[in-house]
Amino acid sequence: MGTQCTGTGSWPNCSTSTCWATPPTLDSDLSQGIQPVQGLALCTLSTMGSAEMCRDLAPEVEKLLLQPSPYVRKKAILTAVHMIRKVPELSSVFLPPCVHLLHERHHGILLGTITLITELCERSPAALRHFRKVVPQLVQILRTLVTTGYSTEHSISGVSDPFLQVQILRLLRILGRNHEESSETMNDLLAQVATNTDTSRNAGNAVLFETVLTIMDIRSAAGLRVLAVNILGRFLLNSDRNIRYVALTSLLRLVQSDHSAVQRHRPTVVDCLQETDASLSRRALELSLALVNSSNVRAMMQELQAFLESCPPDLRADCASGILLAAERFAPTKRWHIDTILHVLTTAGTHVRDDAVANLTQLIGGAQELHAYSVRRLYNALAEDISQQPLVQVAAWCIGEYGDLLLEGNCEEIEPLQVDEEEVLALLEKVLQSHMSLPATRGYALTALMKLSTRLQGDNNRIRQVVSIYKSCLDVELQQRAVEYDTLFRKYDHMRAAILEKMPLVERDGPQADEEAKESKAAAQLSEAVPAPTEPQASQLLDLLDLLDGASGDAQHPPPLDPSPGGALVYLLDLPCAPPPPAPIPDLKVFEREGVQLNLSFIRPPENPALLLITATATNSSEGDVTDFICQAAVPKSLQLQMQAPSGNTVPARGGLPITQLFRILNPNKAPVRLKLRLTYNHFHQSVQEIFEVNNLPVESWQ
Amino acid sequence: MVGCAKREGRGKRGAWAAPAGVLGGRPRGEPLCLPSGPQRPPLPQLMRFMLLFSRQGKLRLQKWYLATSDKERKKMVRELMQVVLARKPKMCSFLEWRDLKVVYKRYASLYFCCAIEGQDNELITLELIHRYVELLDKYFGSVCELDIIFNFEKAYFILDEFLMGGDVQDTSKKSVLKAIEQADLLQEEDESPRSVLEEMGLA
Repeated sequence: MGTQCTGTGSWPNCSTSTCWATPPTLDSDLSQGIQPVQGLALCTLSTMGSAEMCRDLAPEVEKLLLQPSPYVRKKAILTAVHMIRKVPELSSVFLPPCVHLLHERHHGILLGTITLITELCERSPAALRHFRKVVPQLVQILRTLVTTGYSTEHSISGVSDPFLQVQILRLLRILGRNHEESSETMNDLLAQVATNTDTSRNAGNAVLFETVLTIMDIRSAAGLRVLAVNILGRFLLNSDRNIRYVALTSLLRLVQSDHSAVQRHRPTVVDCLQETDASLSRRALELSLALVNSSNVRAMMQELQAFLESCPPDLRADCASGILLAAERFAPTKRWHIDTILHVLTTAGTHVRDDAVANLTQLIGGAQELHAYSVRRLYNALAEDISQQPLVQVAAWCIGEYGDLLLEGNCEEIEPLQVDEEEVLALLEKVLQSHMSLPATRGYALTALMKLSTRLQGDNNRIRQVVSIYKSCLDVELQQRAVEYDTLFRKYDHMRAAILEKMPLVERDGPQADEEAKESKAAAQLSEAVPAPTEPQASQLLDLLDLLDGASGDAQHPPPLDPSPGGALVYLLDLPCAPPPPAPIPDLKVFEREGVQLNLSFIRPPENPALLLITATATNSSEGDVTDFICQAAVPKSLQLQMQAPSGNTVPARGGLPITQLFRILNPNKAPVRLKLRLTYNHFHQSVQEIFEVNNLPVESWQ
Repeated sequence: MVGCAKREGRGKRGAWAAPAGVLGGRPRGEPLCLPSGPQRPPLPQLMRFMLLFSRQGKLRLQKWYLATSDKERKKMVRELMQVVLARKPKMCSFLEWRDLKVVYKRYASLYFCCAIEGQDNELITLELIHRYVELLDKYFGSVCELDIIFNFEKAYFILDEFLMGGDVQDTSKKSVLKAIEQADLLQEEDESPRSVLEEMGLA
């Protein structure tokens, strides 16, 4: 009998000796005609079959596909699936019988056939095209199953054969992907399945979930996509944890393409942050961060910061860096931004990325009006807790730079606090001596002390004492600094004040690892490079500078602009050390109406010449707010356009924070780029719709 | 996973005799899986493997649908058991592990664990696990861990009738159970006592 097979059938890999021993037996077992034996042989083949075995036995298996007994046929079909996985060339052998097999009524055979067709289509685009013609038949099978195909034998809790339904939906997904015609054929059926499936038990939810996945992947009608997102939203409210999990995962996949539909479920997503299950709260965190935009940033940040305080330790790092990134993209005001970063540093200071310190110092340095405020807040935070290293580093730096403002005592934004010189010095000394301070932190503290020697009124004996103590410190870096500072006191005292002056704003260098930040900074970087284009277009320059001056008053990082074009040219020429960037493409103003302007700026990344990144910036210099701003774009067929979600849909009046939106255009043929833009927004209580073509894009953007 | 002689057990039918030749024939130390032909990366399929293990971390059943070396398998089993056993009772049944999704469910003292590909439907895998448990239950009559320990070859056989290569063969409980019954009958016929003459082939 097939006893030989029972033993080997449980071994899912092939050892050389058994491989060579079994094929003759398998061959005879397969053609023997006793069904259980044939079944066992097929099972062995499908679990253990090596490529050689599969090639040798393919004709036998093909014969068994046409046998009358469903028991053997269903096994033969699945064995064929395995054979194709092992030896893709066998697809040609097993492709012809498929269409015929689809007419079977036996569920097992049908299931196997659909799995076989799925496997064939996934491996070969030719097979995919061939099987597109069975889409109507598949639709019919599924429809029959859903409406009249109830049989107790195959049903699970009221849903007819969910395994078969899910498999058909998967195949439809593969066939409908990127194919308008097939997708249209499926639309009605998908809507029917989505609305009629009983969702009280897991089986129904499994079918519904597969339907949603299919709708998301094919070219479905807009209404159907909204239905899919709503189903996921309903899943989020389900009491079953598993269903919430799949909903969160799927919404995360959808958030880029159907951003506004997913936004509607934001409150539910935020509630999911409170989940006790770590995998669920991680998903909820990722999704919440993806949903932050300029209109909901304050509310979302509050929720996320509350979450940061109570979240499990392995999520802290992601949460902290996510908050910092979102704050950078969407901060409404500088002060809010500084507050947010401060809060993150105090709550989860040890988990932030290394460049957080540099970013914060850069930010504070650039916000002149907030120096006093920042230094006070940092001083208070430091006085409470000197263990969080990034916080201590920033605080030390600030106190060193703006110590005089700290001692002045009058700052409108927080309650006045009289700070004594001695207290400040004592605090810095405490940081220096604490065993919790890293060597880098101590370096910060020592330098801060030194800077204070010029900022404070009193005599410098205490500072000199501390500095001379550290001249014999074991840490080489600290020792070197201390020696240098001491020499400054002794021999170069006349230069001390000049050397320890307030630092100029450091140029923000190097893109962060995060690509999103890189792309959102593209606008900022471009606006930095724009004041000095290689061709002296003076009038256009002044226009752009006006635009920048007006619009970027509250922008995140105001670049150091020189108001006169000549000076700006000199500034560019003075940067010989930086590697010469590719000539920046000039911006293009494409639309203006009653103070609302749309500007396009271009970047061609050098590593990918076919790619063109366009940042559309909408600004508003009028007296009325612009709301519900939506920009849609179309390009000729030879190009591919991908639009990212806009930073928001409101531009406040009088030069409020502009809306930016990134377009990615792939232009492998170097065809001239043309854009058709459609803008809709509300302005002065009127709804405005504008459609126009942009044909005069600069040549450098596509050549 | 050694061949076993006929055992008395809680199963309804006797155990199957396993052939000595095949299992004893493998020389020691030879790796179980040798690459056949050019190395191909594993192409997507429904299920990579299924494991059954107890709460104490003892493996009761392992079925692998993708060829992996013995060492690799042991490592994966050890790691996965650790991760799954560390989960609290109220947590959801899905977790990400390496580049796979793992769907697990606890039935009494046994964990049923399936590893599926990234793009697959986790909810239907839960149904699949449940269906397998139902089949075991129907066959053994109120199945418990001991049934699976003493009749592990039956458990494998039922799994092989239900799934093949990781894909569901038949969605009807009835027909799967019927097939197993028929195979059992055939086996019993074969083992029924034969007269001496018959054994000598003379009658």
